[in-house]
Amino acid sequence: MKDGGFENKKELENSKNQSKSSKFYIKSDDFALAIAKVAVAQVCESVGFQSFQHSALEALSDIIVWYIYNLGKTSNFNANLAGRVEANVFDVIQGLEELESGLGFAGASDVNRCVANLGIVRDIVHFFGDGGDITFAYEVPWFPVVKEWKRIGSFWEKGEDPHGEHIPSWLPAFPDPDTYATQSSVGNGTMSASNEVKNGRVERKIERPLLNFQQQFAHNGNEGGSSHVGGGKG
Amino acid sequence: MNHNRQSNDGKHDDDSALSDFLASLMDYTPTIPDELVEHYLAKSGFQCPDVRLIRLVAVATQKFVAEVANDALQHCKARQAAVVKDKREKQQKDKRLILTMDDLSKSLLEYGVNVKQQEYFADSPLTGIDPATRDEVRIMLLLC
Repeated sequence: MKDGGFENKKELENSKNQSKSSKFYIKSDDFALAIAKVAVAQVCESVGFQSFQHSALEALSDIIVWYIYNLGKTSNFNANLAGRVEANVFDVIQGLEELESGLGFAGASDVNRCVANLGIVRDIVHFFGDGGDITFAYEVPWFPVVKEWKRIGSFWEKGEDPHGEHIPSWLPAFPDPDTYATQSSVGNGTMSASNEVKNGRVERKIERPLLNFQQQFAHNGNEGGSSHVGGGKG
Repeated sequence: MNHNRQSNDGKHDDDSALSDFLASLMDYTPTIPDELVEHYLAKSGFQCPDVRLIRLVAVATQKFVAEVANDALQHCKARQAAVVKDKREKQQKDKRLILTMDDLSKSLLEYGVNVKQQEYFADSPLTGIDPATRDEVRIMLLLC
């Protein structure tokens, strides 16, 4: 029973730590997914639903993101197959046909028929002929926002002398010696500042220069993907 | 000759139908914002400077969502009609239409998307225990 109790405690703590770190864990697609959720909720409301389960909304918004992505991929493939780099309306309509191929499409087997008279395009026209405009609830800014790359200057640009002949002057300069200070964490031994970004989960006090260096590195060095902000800020 | 003229006229009609359709796309503002669609299309490698194609994708996606939601609504209503037999009080409460995972997975199955949710998760010894006794069991586990 003793072991069971401790294991349970450890699991609880681990799950708490994970949920804490997941608060700071920034996924690159969260903003777009949130917008998709709002759009899907608006469409569901127009259809007649009054409320939804969170899991159902998340699943449906995931699916429409996949739908858009797949449609783009298929259209691009069709364009490349025709020897083009830019897709046109026929590529998109063919991609739509592929996605709806499970349900069947009217008129596609007829060689002489124009694409615009096909079942899919007509369905779209009919669909929007009936209902009114539902505008999106929020104003969406252009994203992703491209940040300016603040370069850490090279030895030559900064006017510093590299520490030794083996270091060429066009390499980025070393950071200030203050940021090299080692911090002793609570019960975890010593850890250097360079490991700060990698082992961000250990909570400890951070001095000002260390904090600035970490932020600087996180903004300039780790572009795209996930950015991991360590605990114990300020 | 006549046949050729007819086919040419037919092509002309088709071209005009297509251009009319594309022009009509710009009049309608889809619920799914253009920025979102452009973001995911750019991710997939789709390149096109024409805004009308972005609108076409947005419009097609909105239609897809509306169809899936509509099917889920039908499932929900069918379920409510089957449940309500005698009690009219329940009928008034169940008037609230909720998009559930159950209805959604049924409607998505027709579109070839297989969405299945776990019935239950047995990740801790306390799963499935009555909440009243759960606290007692938890305290006992911590004390031991």
